[in-house]
Amino acid sequence: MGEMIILTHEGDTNIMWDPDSDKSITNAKNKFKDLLGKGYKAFRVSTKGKKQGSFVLDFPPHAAELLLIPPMVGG
Amino acid sequence: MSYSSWTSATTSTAIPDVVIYYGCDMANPSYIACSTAHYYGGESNIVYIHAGNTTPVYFDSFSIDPWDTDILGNSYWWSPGGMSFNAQHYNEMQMKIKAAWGLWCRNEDHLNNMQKKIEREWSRYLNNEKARERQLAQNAAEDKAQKLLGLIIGKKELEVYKKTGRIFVKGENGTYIVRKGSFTQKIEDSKIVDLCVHIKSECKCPKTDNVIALKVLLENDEKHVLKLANRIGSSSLPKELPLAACM
Repeated sequence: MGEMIILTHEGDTNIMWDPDSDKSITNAKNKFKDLLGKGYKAFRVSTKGKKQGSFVLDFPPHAAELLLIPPMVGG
Repeated sequence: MSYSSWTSATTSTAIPDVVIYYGCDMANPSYIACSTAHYYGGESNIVYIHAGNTTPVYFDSFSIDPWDTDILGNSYWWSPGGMSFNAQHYNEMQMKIKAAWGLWCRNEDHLNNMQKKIEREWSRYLNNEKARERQLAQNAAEDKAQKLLGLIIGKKELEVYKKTGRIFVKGENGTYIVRKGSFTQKIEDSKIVDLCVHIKSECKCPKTDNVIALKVLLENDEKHVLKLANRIGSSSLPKELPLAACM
Protein backbone atom coordinates (compact mmCIF):
# COMPACT_ATOMS: atom_id res chain seq x y z
CA MET A 1 0.00 0.00 0.00
CA GLY A 2 1.14 3.52 -0.73
CA GLU A 3 0.64 6.25 1.82
CA MET A 4 0.42 9.99 1.46
CA ILE A 5 1.08 11.87 4.70
CA ILE A 6 -0.34 15.36 4.45
CA LEU A 7 0.53 17.96 7.08
CA THR A 8 -2.70 19.68 8.04
CA HIS A 9 -4.21 21.67 10.89
CA GLU A 10 -5.24 18.35 12.42
CA GLY A 11 -1.67 17.10 12.64
CA ASP A 12 -1.38 14.88 9.64
CA THR A 13 -3.90 13.20 7.43
CA ASN A 14 -3.08 9.96 5.70
CA ILE A 15 -4.33 8.83 2.35
CA MET A 16 -3.63 5.25 1.37
CA TRP A 17 -3.73 3.76 -2.06
CA ASP A 18 -3.43 0.32 -3.51
CA PRO A 19 -0.74 0.23 -6.25
CA ASP A 20 -2.66 -2.63 -7.88
CA SER A 21 -5.91 -0.75 -8.12
CA ASP A 22 -6.35 1.80 -10.89
CA LYS A 23 -9.26 3.43 -9.11
CA SER A 24 -7.31 3.76 -5.89
CA ILE A 25 -4.31 5.20 -7.74
CA THR A 26 -6.53 7.67 -9.60
CA ASN A 27 -8.08 8.92 -6.36
CA ALA A 28 -4.69 9.37 -4.72
CA LYS A 29 -3.26 10.97 -7.83
CA ASN A 30 -6.10 13.48 -7.99
CA LYS A 31 -5.55 14.45 -4.37
CA PHE A 32 -1.81 14.71 -5.01
CA LYS A 33 -2.35 17.03 -7.98
CA ASP A 34 -4.85 19.10 -6.05
CA LEU A 35 -2.40 19.66 -3.21
CA LEU A 36 0.52 20.47 -5.48
CA GLY A 37 -1.75 22.98 -7.16
CA LYS A 38 -2.23 24.60 -3.76
CA GLY A 39 1.50 25.01 -3.27
CA TYR A 40 2.26 21.83 -1.34
CA LYS A 41 5.60 20.16 -1.90
CA ALA A 42 5.84 16.41 -2.10
CA PHE A 43 8.73 14.32 -0.86
CA ARG A 44 9.38 10.65 -1.05
CA VAL A 45 10.22 9.80 2.54
CA SER A 46 10.74 6.99 4.93
CA THR A 47 9.37 7.18 8.43
CA LYS A 48 11.88 4.57 9.51
CA GLY A 49 14.36 7.25 10.40
CA LYS A 50 17.48 8.48 8.69
CA LYS A 51 17.72 11.19 6.12
CA GLN A 52 15.85 10.21 3.05
CA GLY A 53 13.83 12.12 0.65
CA SER A 54 13.58 13.55 -2.74
CA PHE A 55 11.34 15.98 -4.49
CA VAL A 56 8.44 14.45 -6.31
CA LEU A 57 6.62 16.34 -9.00
CA ASP A 58 4.65 13.49 -10.54
CA PHE A 59 2.61 11.07 -8.56
CA PRO A 60 4.62 7.86 -8.10
CA PRO A 61 2.08 5.02 -7.83
CA HIS A 62 4.64 2.61 -6.47
CA ALA A 63 6.16 4.86 -3.83
CA ALA A 64 5.72 3.60 -0.31
CA GLU A 65 5.44 6.92 1.47
CA LEU A 66 5.02 10.50 0.40
CA LEU A 67 5.09 13.51 2.69
CA LEU A 68 3.18 16.55 1.55
CA ILE A 69 4.30 19.82 3.07
CA PRO A 70 2.11 22.93 2.96
CA PRO A 71 3.46 26.07 1.31
CA MET A 72 6.13 27.87 3.28
CA VAL A 73 6.65 31.60 3.67
CA GLY A 74 9.28 33.88 5.10
CA GLY A 75 8.22 35.74 8.22
CA MET B 1 -52.59 51.30 27.26
CA SER B 2 -49.75 53.08 28.95
CA TYR B 3 -49.52 54.10 32.54
CA SER B 4 -49.74 57.81 31.70
CA SER B 5 -52.98 57.39 29.81
CA TRP B 6 -54.36 55.36 32.67
CA THR B 7 -53.40 58.07 35.20
CA SER B 8 -55.08 60.64 33.09
CA ALA B 9 -58.22 58.58 32.81
CA THR B 10 -58.59 57.98 36.51
CA THR B 11 -57.41 61.20 38.04
CA SER B 12 -59.58 63.26 35.79
CA THR B 13 -62.66 61.58 37.18
CA ALA B 14 -63.76 62.96 40.54
CA ILE B 15 -65.99 60.03 41.22
CA PRO B 16 -64.09 57.01 40.07
CA ASP B 17 -66.34 55.73 37.39
CA VAL B 18 -63.86 53.01 36.71
CA VAL B 19 -63.00 49.57 37.71
CA ILE B 20 -59.37 49.18 38.51
CA TYR B 21 -57.87 45.83 37.95
CA TYR B 22 -54.87 45.42 40.07
CA GLY B 23 -53.28 42.06 39.91
CA CYS B 24 -49.61 41.65 40.14
CA ASP B 25 -47.66 38.44 40.17
CA MET B 26 -44.13 39.50 40.97
CA ALA B 27 -42.83 36.03 40.25
CA ASN B 28 -43.95 36.63 36.71
CA PRO B 29 -44.01 40.40 36.34
CA SER B 30 -44.71 40.39 32.65
CA TYR B 31 -48.21 39.36 33.67
CA ILE B 32 -48.95 42.25 35.92
CA ALA B 33 -52.55 43.31 35.70
CA CYS B 34 -52.93 46.97 36.29
CA SER B 35 -55.47 48.67 34.20
CA THR B 36 -58.85 50.30 34.15
CA ALA B 37 -62.21 49.92 32.63
CA HIS B 38 -65.46 51.70 32.89
CA TYR B 39 -67.58 50.50 35.69
CA TYR B 40 -70.86 48.96 34.81
CA GLY B 41 -73.82 50.12 36.85
CA GLY B 42 -74.77 52.99 39.05
CA GLU B 43 -72.43 52.54 42.01
CA SER B 44 -69.87 54.82 40.55
CA ASN B 45 -68.12 55.54 43.83
CA ILE B 46 -66.98 51.96 44.21
CA VAL B 47 -63.62 50.86 42.95
CA TYR B 48 -63.04 47.17 42.56
CA ILE B 49 -59.52 46.12 43.19
CA HIS B 50 -58.33 42.70 42.30
CA ALA B 51 -55.32 42.21 44.47
CA GLY B 52 -52.91 39.39 43.87
CA ASN B 53 -52.67 37.50 40.64
CA THR B 54 -56.21 36.27 40.35
CA THR B 55 -56.72 37.93 36.99
CA PRO B 56 -53.39 38.23 35.34
CA VAL B 57 -53.61 40.16 32.13
CA TYR B 58 -50.86 41.64 30.08
CA PHE B 59 -50.83 45.34 30.75
CA ASP B 60 -49.77 46.75 27.41
CA SER B 61 -52.16 44.68 25.41
CA PHE B 62 -54.95 44.83 27.93
CA SER B 63 -58.26 45.74 26.52
CA ILE B 64 -61.59 45.23 28.15
CA ASP B 65 -65.09 45.53 27.00
CA PRO B 66 -66.68 47.90 29.54
CA TRP B 67 -69.69 45.75 30.14
CA ASP B 68 -68.35 42.39 29.38
CA THR B 69 -65.30 40.32 30.20
CA ASP B 70 -61.58 40.80 30.10
CA ILE B 71 -59.32 39.20 27.55
CA LEU B 72 -59.03 36.09 29.67
CA GLY B 73 -62.75 35.70 29.71
CA ASN B 74 -63.22 36.79 33.34
CA SER B 75 -66.17 39.03 34.16
CA TYR B 76 -64.29 41.76 35.90
CA TRP B 77 -66.61 42.29 38.83
CA TRP B 78 -67.02 38.57 39.43
CA SER B 79 -63.36 37.76 39.56
CA PRO B 80 -62.38 35.92 42.71
CA GLY B 81 -60.33 37.83 45.21
CA GLY B 82 -62.10 41.07 44.41
CA MET B 83 -62.15 43.66 47.18
CA SER B 84 -64.38 46.65 47.46
CA PHE B 85 -63.14 50.10 48.27
CA ASN B 86 -65.12 53.22 48.51
CA ALA B 87 -64.07 56.53 47.08
CA GLN B 88 -62.28 57.58 50.27
CA HIS B 89 -59.73 54.91 49.69
CA TYR B 90 -59.27 55.91 46.14
CA ASN B 91 -56.19 58.11 46.57
CA GLU B 92 -54.59 55.54 48.80
CA MET B 93 -55.18 52.92 46.17
CA GLN B 94 -53.80 55.20 43.53
CA MET B 95 -50.60 55.42 45.56
CA LYS B 96 -50.48 51.68 45.96
CA ILE B 97 -51.06 51.13 42.30
CA LYS B 98 -48.42 53.69 41.42
CA ALA B 99 -46.04 52.01 43.85
CA ALA B 100 -46.83 48.64 42.31
CA TRP B 101 -46.28 50.10 38.87
CA GLY B 102 -42.98 51.56 39.98
CA LEU B 103 -41.98 48.22 41.45
CA TRP B 104 -42.99 46.52 38.25
CA CYS B 105 -40.92 48.96 36.24
CA ARG B 106 -37.95 48.46 38.51
CA ASN B 107 -38.48 44.73 38.31
CA GLU B 108 -38.64 45.00 34.56
CA ASP B 109 -35.39 46.97 34.52
CA HIS B 110 -33.91 44.47 36.89
CA LEU B 111 -35.13 41.59 34.75
CA ASN B 112 -33.85 43.23 31.60
CA ASN B 113 -30.48 43.74 33.25
CA MET B 114 -30.54 40.17 34.49
CA GLN B 115 -31.48 38.98 31.03
CA LYS B 116 -28.61 40.93 29.50
CA LYS B 117 -26.26 39.59 32.15
CA ILE B 118 -27.44 36.04 31.50
CA GLU B 119 -26.98 36.54 27.76
CA ARG B 120 -23.48 37.93 28.35
CA GLU B 121 -22.62 35.05 30.66
CA TRP B 122 -24.04 32.52 28.20
CA SER B 123 -22.12 34.08 25.35
CA ARG B 124 -18.94 34.02 27.46
CA TYR B 125 -19.60 30.40 28.36
CA LEU B 126 -20.08 29.47 24.70
CA ASN B 127 -16.90 31.32 23.72
CA ASN B 128 -14.99 29.57 26.49
CA GLU B 129 -16.36 26.23 25.35
CA LYS B 130 -15.34 26.96 21.75
CA ALA B 131 -11.88 28.04 22.92
CA ARG B 132 -11.59 24.89 25.03
CA GLU B 133 -12.62 22.72 22.07
CA ARG B 134 -10.14 24.56 19.83
CA GLN B 135 -7.42 24.02 22.42
CA LEU B 136 -8.25 20.31 22.69
CA ALA B 137 -8.15 19.99 18.89
CA GLN B 138 -4.82 21.84 18.78
CA ASN B 139 -3.40 19.60 21.49
CA ALA B 140 -4.56 16.50 19.61
CA ALA B 141 -3.02 17.83 16.40
CA GLU B 142 0.26 18.58 18.19
CA ASP B 143 0.31 15.06 19.69
CA LYS B 144 -0.21 13.64 16.22
CA ALA B 145 2.57 15.79 14.78
CA GLN B 146 4.96 14.66 17.52
CA LYS B 147 4.13 11.03 16.79
CA LEU B 148 4.98 11.62 13.14
CA LEU B 149 8.23 13.32 14.11
CA GLY B 150 8.94 10.34 16.37
CA LEU B 151 8.59 8.04 13.35
CA ILE B 152 11.10 10.16 11.46
CA ILE B 153 13.75 10.77 14.16
CA GLY B 154 13.14 7.85 16.49
CA LYS B 155 11.80 7.64 20.04
CA LYS B 156 15.01 8.57 21.79
CA GLU B 157 15.49 11.78 19.81
CA LEU B 158 11.82 12.57 20.17
CA GLU B 159 12.27 12.60 23.95
CA VAL B 160 15.07 15.16 23.56
CA TYR B 161 12.85 17.20 21.28
CA LYS B 162 10.01 17.07 23.79
CA LYS B 163 12.35 18.38 26.48
CA THR B 164 14.08 21.06 24.43
CA GLY B 165 11.73 21.89 21.56
CA ARG B 166 14.78 21.90 19.31
CA ILE B 167 16.07 19.69 16.55
CA PHE B 168 19.42 19.78 14.84
CA VAL B 169 19.24 19.63 11.03
CA LYS B 170 22.05 19.33 8.51
CA GLY B 171 21.46 20.72 5.06
CA GLU B 172 23.68 20.40 2.04
CA ASN B 173 25.65 23.51 2.97
CA GLY B 174 24.63 24.57 6.41
CA THR B 175 23.65 23.42 9.85
CA TYR B 176 20.51 24.54 11.57
CA ILE B 177 18.65 24.40 14.84
CA VAL B 178 14.95 24.23 14.08
CA ARG B 179 12.95 25.36 17.06
CA LYS B 180 9.34 24.68 17.92
CA GLY B 181 7.39 27.92 17.74
CA SER B 182 10.42 30.11 17.22
CA PHE B 183 12.99 31.27 14.67
CA THR B 184 15.14 28.73 12.93
CA GLN B 185 18.82 29.29 13.64
CA LYS B 186 21.54 28.88 11.06
CA ILE B 187 24.89 28.11 12.57
CA GLU B 188 27.65 29.97 10.80
CA ASP B 189 31.38 30.17 11.54
CA SER B 190 31.23 32.65 14.36
CA LYS B 191 27.60 33.46 14.73
CA ILE B 192 24.06 32.19 14.83
CA VAL B 193 21.65 33.77 12.38
CA ASP B 194 17.95 33.84 13.15
CA LEU B 195 15.80 32.97 10.16
CA CYS B 196 12.06 33.44 9.95
CA VAL B 197 10.47 30.85 7.71
CA HIS B 198 7.45 28.73 8.41
CA ILE B 199 4.37 27.01 7.02
CA LYS B 200 1.78 29.52 5.85
CA SER B 201 -0.22 30.49 8.89
CA GLU B 202 -3.52 29.94 7.03
CA CYS B 203 -2.77 26.21 7.20
CA LYS B 204 -2.92 26.38 11.01
CA CYS B 205 -0.64 23.40 11.31
CA PRO B 206 0.62 22.40 14.74
CA LYS B 207 4.04 23.74 15.68
CA THR B 208 5.76 20.39 15.37
CA ASP B 209 4.49 20.02 11.80
CA ASN B 210 6.46 23.17 11.09
CA VAL B 211 9.55 21.51 12.54
CA ILE B 212 8.96 18.42 10.36
CA ALA B 213 8.48 20.56 7.27
CA LEU B 214 11.68 22.55 7.90
CA LYS B 215 13.68 19.41 8.63
CA VAL B 216 12.59 17.76 5.39
CA LEU B 217 12.99 20.92 3.34
CA LEU B 218 16.40 21.86 4.75
CA GLU B 219 17.66 18.35 4.13
CA ASN B 220 16.32 18.23 0.59
CA ASP B 221 15.88 21.75 -0.68
CA GLU B 222 17.99 24.02 1.48
CA LYS B 223 18.28 26.70 -1.19
CA HIS B 224 14.52 27.03 -1.42
CA VAL B 225 14.25 27.55 2.35
CA LEU B 226 17.04 30.13 2.42
CA LYS B 227 15.41 31.96 -0.46
CA LEU B 228 12.17 32.23 1.45
CA ALA B 229 13.64 32.96 4.87
CA ASN B 230 14.02 36.44 6.29
CA ARG B 231 17.17 37.04 8.28
CA ILE B 232 15.97 38.54 11.51
CA GLY B 233 19.22 39.03 13.35
CA SER B 234 22.30 37.31 14.57
CA SER B 235 24.22 36.65 17.73
CA SER B 236 27.68 35.40 18.48
CA LEU B 237 28.18 31.69 18.52
CA PRO B 238 28.13 30.32 22.09
CA LYS B 239 30.93 28.08 23.27
CA GLU B 240 28.50 25.26 23.55
CA LEU B 241 25.44 24.79 21.40
CA PRO B 242 22.15 24.27 23.22
CA LEU B 243 20.90 20.71 23.54
CA ALA B 244 18.73 19.63 20.63
CA ALA B 245 17.46 16.39 19.15
CA CYS B 246 19.55 14.71 16.43
CA MET B 247 22.81 16.44 17.40
